Amino acid sequence: MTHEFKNTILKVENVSLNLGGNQILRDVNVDIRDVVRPGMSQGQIVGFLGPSGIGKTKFFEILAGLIKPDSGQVLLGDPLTPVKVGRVGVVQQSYPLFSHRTVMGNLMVAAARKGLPANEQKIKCEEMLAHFGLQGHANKFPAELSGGQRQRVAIAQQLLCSDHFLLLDEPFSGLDIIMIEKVCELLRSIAALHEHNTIIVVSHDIESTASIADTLWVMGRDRDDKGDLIPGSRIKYTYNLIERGLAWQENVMGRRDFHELVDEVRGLFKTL
Amino acid sequence: MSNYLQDLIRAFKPNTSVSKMTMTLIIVVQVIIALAAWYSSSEILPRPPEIFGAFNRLLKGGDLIRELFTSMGLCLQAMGLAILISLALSYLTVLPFFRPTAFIVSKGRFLTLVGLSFVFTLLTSGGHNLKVSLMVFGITVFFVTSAIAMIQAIPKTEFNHARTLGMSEWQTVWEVIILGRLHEVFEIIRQNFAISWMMLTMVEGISRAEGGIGAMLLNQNKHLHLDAVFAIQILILLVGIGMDYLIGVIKNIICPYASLSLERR
Repeated sequence: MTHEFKNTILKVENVSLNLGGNQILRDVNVDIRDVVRPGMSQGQIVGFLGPSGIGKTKFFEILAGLIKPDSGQVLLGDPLTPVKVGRVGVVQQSYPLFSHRTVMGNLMVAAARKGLPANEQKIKCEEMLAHFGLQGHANKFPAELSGGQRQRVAIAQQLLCSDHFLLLDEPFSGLDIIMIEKVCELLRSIAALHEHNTIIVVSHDIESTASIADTLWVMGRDRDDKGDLIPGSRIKYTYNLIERGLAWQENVMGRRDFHELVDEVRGLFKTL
Repeated sequence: MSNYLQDLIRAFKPNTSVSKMTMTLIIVVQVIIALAAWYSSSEILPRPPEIFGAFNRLLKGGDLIRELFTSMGLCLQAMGLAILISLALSYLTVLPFFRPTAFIVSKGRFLTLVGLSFVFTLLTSGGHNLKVSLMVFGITVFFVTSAIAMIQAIPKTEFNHARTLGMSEWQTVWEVIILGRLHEVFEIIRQNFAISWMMLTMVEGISRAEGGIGAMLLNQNKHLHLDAVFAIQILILLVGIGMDYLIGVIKNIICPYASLSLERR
């Protein structure tokens, strides 16, 4: 499948974080490059994996600009500029929305934040409602939505005001197989909305994440000569699924090499 | 019949609901038990017919309604001022500079109004101002305590959500604390209205020149007119319940989302 890697659009440089004397992150370095496929709009999907308590959430917050690392920086965009809170859309696991606003109200707040002219705000929000299959729910309050609808509103809200970057925390958590497939399809469609759309999925679900990602990051800690863990996590393994021929494939979950990859990553978890 | 019985049995199971008919039946039974207990109690306590008679007497010759409106005016004025002061002070706790002030004000709830009445007498001019000041103080210390607790209980994810939408910290305060918790403010107003309504009798007793239902109650108490005391108490109770209901209705109109996810509506 023809593709080309262009400019770096997200770069994490030597990020370290220490909280209360505990080294959480240590020299985290990664970058995401714009993948270009001729004749189509192709965004990027990165799967961010790692066992519990490894520092994924803190790294997530640093990527979103919500907290500053002790050292290092996160750069994003084209050209690369330091991340600021608000540039990266964040969909947290609980799908927070403004409970006092309707679905439309939630989207309008985001559209206003983006600085769209007043007449364009409503049009853009209605487009989002249509894209996410939420037309009939515009006047409902978040408490009246199902978990899946809530997740879609939360994603739409963040897409309306972010700079093509979207972080999702455990988007498959608590969903059945059918819903997971729908979320995977939704994320693929979001990535395809714009060339620079970049989605980072933080998840424990290796199989679902790998099925939609073009890159996998696996976070973990190093061990010293005695085999003891060295404090501070970093991205230990990066899998380029495009090179492996596992990205953008229909029915990739049915392929043997895909399952070998999933088993390999699962095996890594025990050592991290 | 078996359906009613099953519904009635369900009334004794936790986290269940019963039909409106069964609930009405339960209320009627409980009212009958209460009335029976009342009639069978000591003869010192006035019975409902005596209370009803006293109520009529107060209505015709005692200016009950005028006194009630005087008290309600005082209560609403004090509530209005206390809400403004308390909300301003509570919202300002987002600024570290104002936190010590709010903390001290909230601790004021351990002071007694009777003890403070002398200080407020010196600080204010006229009986009405004294009563308003005492009421505002009494409500504010409780209101600020509840409002601060409400603000502190907001999860970090809600603030982060607003921030990730690119909101400034002041916009986050407006969206998450002020608009996002408006329904809880109504609940605090409800609770504090009950507190203020309870304080009213005591405050009106300190300065009786203006009258009011509290002053009327104390006068009847002084003359041992127990039937009239009970009549006034019941009126105070009913007006309090009515106001509480009204605040609840206003809350449901302004914040229709507030009860959507509750089990008991």
